[in-house]
Amino acid sequence: MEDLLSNVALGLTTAMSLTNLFYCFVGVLVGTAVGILPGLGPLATIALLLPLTFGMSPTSALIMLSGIFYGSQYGGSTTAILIKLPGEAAAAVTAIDGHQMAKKGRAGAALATAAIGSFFAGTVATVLIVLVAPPLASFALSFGPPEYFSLVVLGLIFSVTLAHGSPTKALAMTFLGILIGTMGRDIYTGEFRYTFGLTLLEDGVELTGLAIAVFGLAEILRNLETPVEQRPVVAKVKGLFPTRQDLRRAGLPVVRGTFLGSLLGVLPGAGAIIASFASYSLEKRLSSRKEEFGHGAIEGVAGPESANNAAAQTSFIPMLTLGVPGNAIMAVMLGALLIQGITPGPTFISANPELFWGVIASMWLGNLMLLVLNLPLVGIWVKILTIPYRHLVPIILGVCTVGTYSIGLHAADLYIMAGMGLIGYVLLRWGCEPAPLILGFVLGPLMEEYLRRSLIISRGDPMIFFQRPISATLLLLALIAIVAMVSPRLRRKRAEIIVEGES
Amino acid sequence: MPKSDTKTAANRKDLFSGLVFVGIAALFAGHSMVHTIGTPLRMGPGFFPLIVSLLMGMMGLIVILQAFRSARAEDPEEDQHPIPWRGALLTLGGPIVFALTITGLGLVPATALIVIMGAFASRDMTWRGAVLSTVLVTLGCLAIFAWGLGLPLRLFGTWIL
Repeated sequence: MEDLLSNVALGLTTAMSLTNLFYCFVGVLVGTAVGILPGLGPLATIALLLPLTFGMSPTSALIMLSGIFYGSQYGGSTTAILIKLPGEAAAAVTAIDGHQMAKKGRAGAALATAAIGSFFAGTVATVLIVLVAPPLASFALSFGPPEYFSLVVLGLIFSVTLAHGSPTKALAMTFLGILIGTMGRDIYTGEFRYTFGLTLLEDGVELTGLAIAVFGLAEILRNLETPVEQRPVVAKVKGLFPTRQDLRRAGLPVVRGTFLGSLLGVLPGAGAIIASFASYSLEKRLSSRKEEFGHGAIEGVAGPESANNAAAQTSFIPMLTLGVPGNAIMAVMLGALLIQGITPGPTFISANPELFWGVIASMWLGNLMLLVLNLPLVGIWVKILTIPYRHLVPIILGVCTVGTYSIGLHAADLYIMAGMGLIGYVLLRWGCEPAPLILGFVLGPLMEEYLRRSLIISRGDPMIFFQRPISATLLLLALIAIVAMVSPRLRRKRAEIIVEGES
Repeated sequence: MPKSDTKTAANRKDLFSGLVFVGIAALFAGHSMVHTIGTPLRMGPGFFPLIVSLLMGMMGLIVILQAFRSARAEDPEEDQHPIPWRGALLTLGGPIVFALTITGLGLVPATALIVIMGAFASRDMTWRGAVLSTVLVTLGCLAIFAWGLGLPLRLFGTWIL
């Protein structure tokens, strides 16, 4: 216990240093802005800002990048409530009842409920990370290559099962990501592989360029498809404070959403999105005023908002303690740490106490900043929304291109980026989401490494994955997930939940 | 047998993406023959990619099968919009033009060029707006990358000076 307190104290002192407070502030500010702006999500932003973090200390870098991530969750809900346009996928559910509240002149109450719920969820989730991460890390110390291999397999399967859209396509995209990751120099033999005779592929594909291509460029094209922009009708915000009755009604949904979200966030996959959908259907089922849902029920804002923020927070747990990211954003964060020369994993906490505890403490501070920042500044955020998209394209394109070039000053990275942007856009048009591709790209090399080492241990016998109890359990869970995905009854249920949220 | 439009559209999306998956998988699987595959104990560089490409090919085939079997119309709103050819050309061509001109023209003109391309990617851009955003965004990029990060790049290249 004393240990824990001294760790928390270490974290707070690290996070409270002037530099780190500044980067945390910049992170949540940028995060809120991109959460609000359509066409630029947290993933593309984090990838874009990666080159800027190379000169910072790893702690400041991770503090800023995570600030962007949870800040964007706040921003996404603001637009969901005010114009029924979720800036972020996880805020899609909030748009249902939040926007109805706004239409009835209660936008202020909806925004405040979302912010307070998110803050509560963020606080609880931070405490949860403090309690859960160290024991999980020491448990993972006993993992060998076979366990890690099975863990990565489980992570990839789970993220496909929980992603929305066709799971078959998501799986194919994952494999495509893994294959893209194999291009370049083979670390064991040093020979070039899968370059198809092109010198520009010899150094392999850069994570930043790939993420910017499929999330930045492809997304620009997606937005250019809609010919003329309609200016969104922004609901008037007045009376920021929820009434006492609002607070009473929102209380329990916030608590339930927080716990649901914290739990689902740890699982690999689209944790935050699933968490908000699940919380919405839970609140609807438990409510004594079911008929109000869809017409501005405050529970429909409070629950999902708390759930997605809690999930966003706890999704750091597997990445930091096991070194296995559960979603594409965590995969890019892992990439950021690897570039800094830090490998997350079971020994990460004990080897970098300042980094780990500092980042955790900064999450709580960042949530506090968001609470203080967002409500009074809502007017400014609304103004941002009225910037026409045509002015955003040159900004995004300019920063994407110069940023990617700045990493290694290789022209090849830009050619690859343009090519991947084309493939990403075409596949996106045909209903293939890019997130699994990024996850596969980051996890692929780890997978190959663990596979090689496992088979060296077992002298080439693949049964090693089933003979070790932990590895066998993980693979069994992956198998159950596949069976569940194929079974028609569950598939229908899954579609129902997702459609219910989107309609 | 007559089919409704939405139905063929949904099928086409699955069919094309499935074909792309099978095609890329075949490309990688075929290329594996160039590399040493090896044995499970002594894996060559081609071992793991070969397995993954076979799995990917399988997924691609399932997607193609689903394209023929599924009658469900996917979100009919999608694919109503035509491909923004001008936007696609300018957005994807931008990084290539930048790569080709960065050493010759230098950072300032190359950045300005790509920003102009981005400005005209939208069809409703006005000349005034384009000039304004080009100046502002180019200055912003210079501030971040040249002065902030201190990239070792010439502001004006050999073609000019």
